[in-house]
Amino acid sequence: MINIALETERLNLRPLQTDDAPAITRYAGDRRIAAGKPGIPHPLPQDWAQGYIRYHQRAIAAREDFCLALTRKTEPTLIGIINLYPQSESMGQVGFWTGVPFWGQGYMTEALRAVLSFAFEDLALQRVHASHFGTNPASGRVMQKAGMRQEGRLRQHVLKDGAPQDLVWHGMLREDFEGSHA
Amino acid sequence: MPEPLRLETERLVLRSLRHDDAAAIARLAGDWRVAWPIPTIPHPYSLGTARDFIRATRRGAAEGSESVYAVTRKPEPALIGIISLRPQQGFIAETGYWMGVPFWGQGYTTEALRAVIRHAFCDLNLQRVFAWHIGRNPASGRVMQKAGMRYEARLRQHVLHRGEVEDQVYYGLLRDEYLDAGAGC
Repeated sequence: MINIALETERLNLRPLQTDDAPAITRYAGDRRIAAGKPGIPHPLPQDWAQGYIRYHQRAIAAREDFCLALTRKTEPTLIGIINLYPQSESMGQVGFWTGVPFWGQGYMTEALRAVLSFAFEDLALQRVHASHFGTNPASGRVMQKAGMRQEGRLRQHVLKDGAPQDLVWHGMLREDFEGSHA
Repeated sequence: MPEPLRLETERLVLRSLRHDDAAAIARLAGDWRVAWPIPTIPHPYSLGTARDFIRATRRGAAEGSESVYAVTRKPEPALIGIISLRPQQGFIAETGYWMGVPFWGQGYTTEALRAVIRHAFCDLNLQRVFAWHIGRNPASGRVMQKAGMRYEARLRQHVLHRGEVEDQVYYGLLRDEYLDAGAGC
């Protein structure tokens, strides 16, 4: 078990555990989550969460893909997921979702700030980027609140459930990060 | 074998690559001014590399994964540049191109790009055509603009290109925009 743990004011971020499966199944199974995520099918197949956890436990141990559970300090149950995938030695892609009952409380902004610090300070990345569907502007607001800058919109660039979606890109460079932490 | 490619414009014929294009490709793409902004062009560029490239484009055509056109000026058969169209996900396509230095500044690339865009929308029924260029090569973006494509994004320091981290600038054109602009099919 790899020991990557990030702490914020209200949250603990930790690697996925086998017993996260019920919470992942419940929250990622919500159509409102699946609609915004390229990789989450709807309805969610029964074994999907177990496979997802197994993949990410192996990937984080290999330091290939850093998938962390968001938990509130008051209780250990997973309320969302944030994932940092270093595509190269210098660049990483981040993705995330928060369970619907926990929307609107700034949890993901808090988690994303912590993951960006991890990316620039611990992994020494030069750039972190993220994209979201045009139909999911709330995701872009989280990115902006965490200090990422919108870089553009690739219109009708990908299919989600057979429908073309805009892909809105945000990025943060090392210089942006250092400027915001000076 | 797939059907030979052929698109025609006022001044140009775009056709499938032929084995005897290798010398022109090696000469024109061997110029650093052509090669440096294009990730897929090695430098230096030998005749053997050009032959390999031509064979690869024939495989791509056979698999339907990519169409690579030789750009030629009527009535001469000689290759002056290259433009490609690569369909993705069944509804969009990426295009890329280069033009030999002796043929710069005459609007040939814009003319070829318009022809490929028209083909993508009118013959292939695609929904979107996009292209990107290295941030330090804005001339390529001007060609995209002149062909009717719209600026969409600048991903900062997003690609490692010839040992340097470069911005990636995206342009795109949607089918509805193309039709609304009156170009027609």
